[in-house]
Amino acid sequence: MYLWSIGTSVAEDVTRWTQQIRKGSTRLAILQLVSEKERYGYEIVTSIRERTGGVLEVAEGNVYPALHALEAEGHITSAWREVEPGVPPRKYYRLTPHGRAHHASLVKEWKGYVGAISRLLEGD
Amino acid sequence: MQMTTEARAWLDATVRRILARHPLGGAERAGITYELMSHLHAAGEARATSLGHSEVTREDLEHALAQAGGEEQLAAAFVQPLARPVERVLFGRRLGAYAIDMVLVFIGIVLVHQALDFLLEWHMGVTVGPENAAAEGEFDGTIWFPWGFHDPGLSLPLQGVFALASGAVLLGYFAWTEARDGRTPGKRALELQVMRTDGAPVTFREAFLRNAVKLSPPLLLLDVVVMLLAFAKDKQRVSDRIAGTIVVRA
Repeated sequence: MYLWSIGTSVAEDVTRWTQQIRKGSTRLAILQLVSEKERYGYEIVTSIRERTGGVLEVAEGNVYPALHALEAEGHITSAWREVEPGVPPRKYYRLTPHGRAHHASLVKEWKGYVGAISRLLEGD
Repeated sequence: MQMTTEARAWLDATVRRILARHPLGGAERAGITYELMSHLHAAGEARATSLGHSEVTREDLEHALAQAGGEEQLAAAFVQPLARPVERVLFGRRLGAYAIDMVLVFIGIVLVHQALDFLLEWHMGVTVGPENAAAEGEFDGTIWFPWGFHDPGLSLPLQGVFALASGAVLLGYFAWTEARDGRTPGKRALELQVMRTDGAPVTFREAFLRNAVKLSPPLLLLDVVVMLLAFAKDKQRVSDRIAGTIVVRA
């Protein structure tokens, strides 16, 4: 095997790994944002990018399916709001009591996990 | 922020084109149309604002579409998840589920009636018998509400007590179980689920609305007949249309 091909496959591995982490964190990011206040779809897309300094950049193609799935599972609920006459209304999402508990347990899991991996990496 | 006329026309045409990629039911289509328009408008508005414009132009919207990955990507994000095959159910299985549910409801009502009989006879001194019978020609609710006005040996107000209790059992059973996860025990047995036409879970309000007619068998029968005659394509009872619900295989 050529050296350059090893280099490429390492980069690909990292990319794939990053994608997997990103996929798992999208759900938590959405729950976090709608737990703070009710938000509409586009606001969630841009807020994720801004709040994470661009590290977690999630495409519309991922946010909306995630929102629909969360709603189907009963974690969030939505309502259409008229913003101003003549422009499309906006669909605002907020947490259900069920989703609030789900969010809390995901946050706990996430913090525990990140703490554990950090300790592992620090080697103590 | 308002859109220019050109932007509005472009948005309508584009969203229609994106939706044309997938078969969707009427109600699903309406929800997704709003959501797509809303998204593109919000994204276009953000761009217009950053450029210091006071109106959303067609260019802003085109930019928003490109940013979202184009029509293909948006269709994948918005339309495909909702276009998952939802198989609405018209009659047979629903009738089966209803039969199972009514057996359970009937048991519940019998138990409640026993308890009421007991309360009336032993604690209030009212005996269930001819001396308390409703007068000849008095309102007879039996036809419209057979499981409430159960005993001609009772005066009308007392029959009303039974009627209220029975109605609470029946409606409570259907509305509560459907609001919980879209399934009554009968629907669970026959693999059916109630959902909103936009695919979302039903709330108590919708479950109540679609089930209220079950209080009266003749009205329910009418509701079902109207469905079979007029709404067989949508597979919705009139009550389903009022509540915005469908029954699907699940």
